[in-house]
Amino acid sequence: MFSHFVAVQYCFTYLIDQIPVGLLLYSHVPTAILALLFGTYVAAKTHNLSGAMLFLICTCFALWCILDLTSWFAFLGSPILMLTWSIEDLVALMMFFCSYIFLYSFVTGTDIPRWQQVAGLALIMPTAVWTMLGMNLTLYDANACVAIENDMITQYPYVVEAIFIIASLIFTVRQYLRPPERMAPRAIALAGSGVVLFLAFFFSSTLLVNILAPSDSSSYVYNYEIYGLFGMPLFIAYFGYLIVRYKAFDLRIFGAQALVLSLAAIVLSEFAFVTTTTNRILVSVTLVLIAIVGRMLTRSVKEEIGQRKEIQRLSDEKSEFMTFASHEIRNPITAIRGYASLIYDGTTGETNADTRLAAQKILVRGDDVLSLIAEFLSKSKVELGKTTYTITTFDSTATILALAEDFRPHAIAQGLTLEVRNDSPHQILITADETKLREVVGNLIDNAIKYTKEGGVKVSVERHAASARIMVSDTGPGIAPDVLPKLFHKFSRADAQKANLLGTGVGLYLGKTFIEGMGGHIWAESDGPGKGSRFIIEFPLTSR
Amino acid sequence: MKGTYIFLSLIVSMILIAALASYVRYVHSKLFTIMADVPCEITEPGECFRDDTAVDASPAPYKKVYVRAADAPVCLEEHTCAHFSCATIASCRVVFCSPDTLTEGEACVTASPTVSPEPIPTR
Repeated sequence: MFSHFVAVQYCFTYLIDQIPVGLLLYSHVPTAILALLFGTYVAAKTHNLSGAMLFLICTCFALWCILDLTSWFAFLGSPILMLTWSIEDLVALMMFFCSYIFLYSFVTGTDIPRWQQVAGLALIMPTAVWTMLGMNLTLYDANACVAIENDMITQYPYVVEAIFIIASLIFTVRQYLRPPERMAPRAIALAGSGVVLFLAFFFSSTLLVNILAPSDSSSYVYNYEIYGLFGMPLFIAYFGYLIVRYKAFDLRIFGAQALVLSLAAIVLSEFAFVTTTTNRILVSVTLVLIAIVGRMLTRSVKEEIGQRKEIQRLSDEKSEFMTFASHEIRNPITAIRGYASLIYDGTTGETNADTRLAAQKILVRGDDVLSLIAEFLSKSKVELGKTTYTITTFDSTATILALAEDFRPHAIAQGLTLEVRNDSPHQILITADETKLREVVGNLIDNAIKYTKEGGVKVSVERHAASARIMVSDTGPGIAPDVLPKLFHKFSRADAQKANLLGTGVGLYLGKTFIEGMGGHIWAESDGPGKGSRFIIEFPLTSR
Repeated sequence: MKGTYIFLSLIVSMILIAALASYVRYVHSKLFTIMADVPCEITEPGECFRDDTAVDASPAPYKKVYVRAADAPVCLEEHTCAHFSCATIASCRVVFCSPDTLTEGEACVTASPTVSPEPIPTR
């Protein structure tokens, strides 16, 4: 196969004495092809920094494989070997740096900070300069068909590679402990592990070779290096799983097709390795089975993805219909309220006490229905992704305490006390959408009054460490421990239905969506049934 | 993000320049040294190396030559040079065996008339 390319017969004979050429090809060629396919596919489907970085990583890896394979094939002549050997380290460093940038942008969705760019460049620069000046290689050993490296200079890339691995690990741990909203902690752990393992595989095999090979390269230990390349299929497997499980890169159909193709490529490349007829037949049978099973798998994945799309489309249509229907219902209700108001005010003429009472009840129930419709409209907006926030900085104390006072007549009508408390003499500034915050807290106060039969409701605003804390507590029926986790889910109403209380079950769900959308945190606490409950909202303090 | 792309382009350019410089040095100009073991003969002025780890009962002695690749004959890499001499090559340097030049697994011997001029099997 190689006879046309052999320029130095001695080195060809030497090579085949040291390692099976098939193993060399098997470890380098399929992994390089897989990497290129994977990187190209993701880059073509996405148009962001993560996709571009992944493409660069895969390209650098494939290039490194080609350079390394050429370095093994010293029979091509010493000039070719010296060329490929000299730039391998630089390409490897580029791959490590791109891996870090990729991990950062993939998890955070942003560029790496400028200082890290400069630091990375500073770390790579010495190797680039030494390569340009030819200082990394001292001579060509024609006896062992290898290049002799400058020990001091060639140890440096390993130090830099270790730094990138450690940086990736630290970054992953930090992001896992304080995950950004855009990514689940488990996805961060998977992405970080994929990158770190890939780099560690690569690094440890080349480092092992460097430690074991004496400086005169008299013993042939480079064979160990090839096993480090199998870190790439591991990397692809991690990110393939991320794509399928977490819709990483927003790719819908990928995992099944890519995994089947990868498996087929790896099995196919065994033909470079196996020599006996029996083994070749077995490999062929394996390939056919992979093709059949792979086709079934990809078809079922496609069907499932199609069904999910259809479900999502129906859900969006439902939300739009809800919006439409709610608007249509609101108009006549508003008209009914309007006329009831005219009757109550006496605008339509003299009315007796009974008529005015009836009109008042129409007004109150009309308000309740309008509130329900408003909640449904808000929920539809949230589901359609159309919620907008008008963010300003304001004094939460003034806003919340004024809001609470509006509910005092309602509380008194229920026979409850309403305590409004502010422990801080100064303003407690927060940055949020004031209207939506009033809506959420108003809903909490309304719920507290609705559910509490005796005792009272307390509304307080206070500083808590570096946060502003708004608390609505009551002496109501409390919340059972098994209900607490489900409280903020859609259509969860605790015991409201038993208490025959009007409500949609989406108020708390909307409240959580709005508060978290503004960068705050909301949760509920209760000491158990019959012991009241506390709803707490926290926002970071804003300094003027 | 544009800044990061520019930055990465700089790094890629740096690699391309390094690759080009390497190409000019190693492929075009062949500005590197080849080290090879060549047979050591009785008329040599110094002691020869002997490979003590070789499987042969009496391995052939050899000397080490360092020559610039641009000046090196093809037979040097093929280990088929008969009676190789540095006399005609300006960049060529011969290293004979001495306590300073010995490495692990080698010993110093004086070449004998029975030494075969065949290429030495190396490790």
